[in-house]
Amino acid sequence: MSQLGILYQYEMKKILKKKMTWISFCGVVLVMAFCCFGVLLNRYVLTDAQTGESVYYSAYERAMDRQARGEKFNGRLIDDILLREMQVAYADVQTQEQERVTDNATINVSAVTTAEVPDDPAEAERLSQQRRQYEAIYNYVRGVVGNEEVHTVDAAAFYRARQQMIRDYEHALCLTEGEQEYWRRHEAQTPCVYYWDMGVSMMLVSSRTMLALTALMIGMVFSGVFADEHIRKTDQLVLCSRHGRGMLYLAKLLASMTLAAAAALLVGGATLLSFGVVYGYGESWNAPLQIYLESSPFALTMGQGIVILLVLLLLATVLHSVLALVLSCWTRSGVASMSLMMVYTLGTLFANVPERLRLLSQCLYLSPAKAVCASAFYDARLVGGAGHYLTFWQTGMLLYPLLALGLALLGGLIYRRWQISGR
Amino acid sequence: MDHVSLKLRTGVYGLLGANGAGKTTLMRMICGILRPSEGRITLAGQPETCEAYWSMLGYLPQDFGYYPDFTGREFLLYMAALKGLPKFRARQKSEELLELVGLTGQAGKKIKTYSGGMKQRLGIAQALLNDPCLLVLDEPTAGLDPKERVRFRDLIAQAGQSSIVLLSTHIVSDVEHIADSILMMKEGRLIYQGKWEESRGDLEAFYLEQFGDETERRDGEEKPPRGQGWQRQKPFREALTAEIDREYSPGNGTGGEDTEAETGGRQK
Repeated sequence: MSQLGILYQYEMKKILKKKMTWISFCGVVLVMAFCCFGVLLNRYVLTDAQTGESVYYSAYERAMDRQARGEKFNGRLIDDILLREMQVAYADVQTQEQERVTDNATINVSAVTTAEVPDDPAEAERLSQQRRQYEAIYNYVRGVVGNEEVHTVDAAAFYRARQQMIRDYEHALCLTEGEQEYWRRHEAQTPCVYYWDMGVSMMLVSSRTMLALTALMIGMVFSGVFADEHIRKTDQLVLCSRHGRGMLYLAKLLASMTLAAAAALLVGGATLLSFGVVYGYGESWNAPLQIYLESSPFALTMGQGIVILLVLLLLATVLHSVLALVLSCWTRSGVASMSLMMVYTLGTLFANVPERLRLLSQCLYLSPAKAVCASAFYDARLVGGAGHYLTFWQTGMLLYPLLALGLALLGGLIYRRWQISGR
Repeated sequence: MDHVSLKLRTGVYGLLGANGAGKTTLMRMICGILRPSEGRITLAGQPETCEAYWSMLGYLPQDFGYYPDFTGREFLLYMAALKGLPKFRARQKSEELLELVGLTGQAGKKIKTYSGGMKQRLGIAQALLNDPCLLVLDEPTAGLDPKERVRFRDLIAQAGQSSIVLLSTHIVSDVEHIADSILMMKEGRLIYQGKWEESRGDLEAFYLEQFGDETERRDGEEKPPRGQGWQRQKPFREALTAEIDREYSPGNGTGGEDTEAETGGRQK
């Protein structure tokens, strides 16, 4: 085995022997499990209006019940026939939007859905069952056309409304003419086919949590890679050895990147597997992305979307590991570099820049904490020009390795200048 | 450092000086881990900032750092990899050195369970891994009991037969028996270099004559008047302008005139 291989093994060993590594990894797994499945611990109660009897059922049972009903529409084209069936089922339902000005002067729009309840309990139950059969389609269509039009909309109007949502969002994102022209040629085609999407949509929703948690874990684990050498005073031995300034840096970098990638794959893989076991993916893997993200212009399936997000998660996690290493090398303090990693992660997660400040906003939204989530498939802003463009996620896939490489080179320069003084 | 110029040959050099005299700074510069603001250091024509230089160097710092979760054997194998030893040679050399420093029985135990003396012995073992031409030992006997000190001196004397050994200490008795030459530092300058001749009298008496005043002040935490005494050392550290020149001709490993090193310095 080459010297690099031996040093790589020892650097892996150093990181894996730290208690912090295992504590933070187990913490990420636990928090992730709670974020994804904590909601299933809820309990619901259904009270019969006439007898007054209450039936308790779990959130899991409720989810499975909804899934069983939703899956009956798998593969159905969203066309006039399906919309009409849904509207008949919901014929006795009226939905009214109510506007209310709150204390802080914002307008809350809430929808009140009322149904006429027949005197005959059997008839009331039949109508209720009928409505519940089409609940998935009703909710999906209502999300596109609104609470009132859902009762009258036809397929042409439905797709026009969806198209309008995309145009409105493009306008809000301040797209250039070139970008708009690009999306005219590349955006998802209509009509689309319906699939029940609980498993895949939960996976898309969880990607941001996965990214944030792995970034924090990396901040905790890798902030000590160089700082510990300084604190333990082993740097003076290491730096005056033959491979101490060149090959060792590479070994530390490779070991950290490998472990970061493994952590991302483990967290991502475990989450994917867990949602698969609980909800199943079935045919929804091939469902168009627009079933979950109505105003997304991307012509992708849900499965492709998940794979893209997992690859972005992997690349972003590797980038974060390199960033943590550079900060550790620069500050020579585990606490300082960990704090900087937290500021970076939470800052990019919660910061907001208006879309009209196009460049600044796009840069912020390309940061991993903003990009590794479902919004990667909303954001129609492109990078490039003269007819050659990269979409949001394509840019991320190119940008993150390049940034990691740039940071690694910067870290190498800092490390080579490392001096032992003042002890 | 100020006006430091040295030329070292095979043998043991005892570097004496009070705390803060600049011994550790000089050693760090020679090891290439602290860059001088001016001057140069070479070993066999190689500058102190290249791999070829470091591959000929062994260093035991004053405050020896280690990886607490590594075993003694793992630590030596790791250091051997850093020093570029092939895997088989690394294993062989590690076992030899563990035997030499009397740690074979404890080689499989984690370093965090070692006593101070055992850690120090492990430190000397790692410094000898690559059969260094230049062995730099910064206060290696600190924290050792008398029995271990004697054992250490023997090790150093043995290493000095084929290598340049630069041994720093402020304990005169540690060097007067084994050092071939004495280097004495005060306030960043070399105030004496060469063999200690009997005609000059007792080395310890000379040392105390030079440093006794400073040592007393330090031990008593008594602050001297501004601009006097040991406070004057601070500007020297800040205005480091030494040129350190080193030449080394690898010989047949038996010592004598074939092995030579030179360190010189002057303020520009």
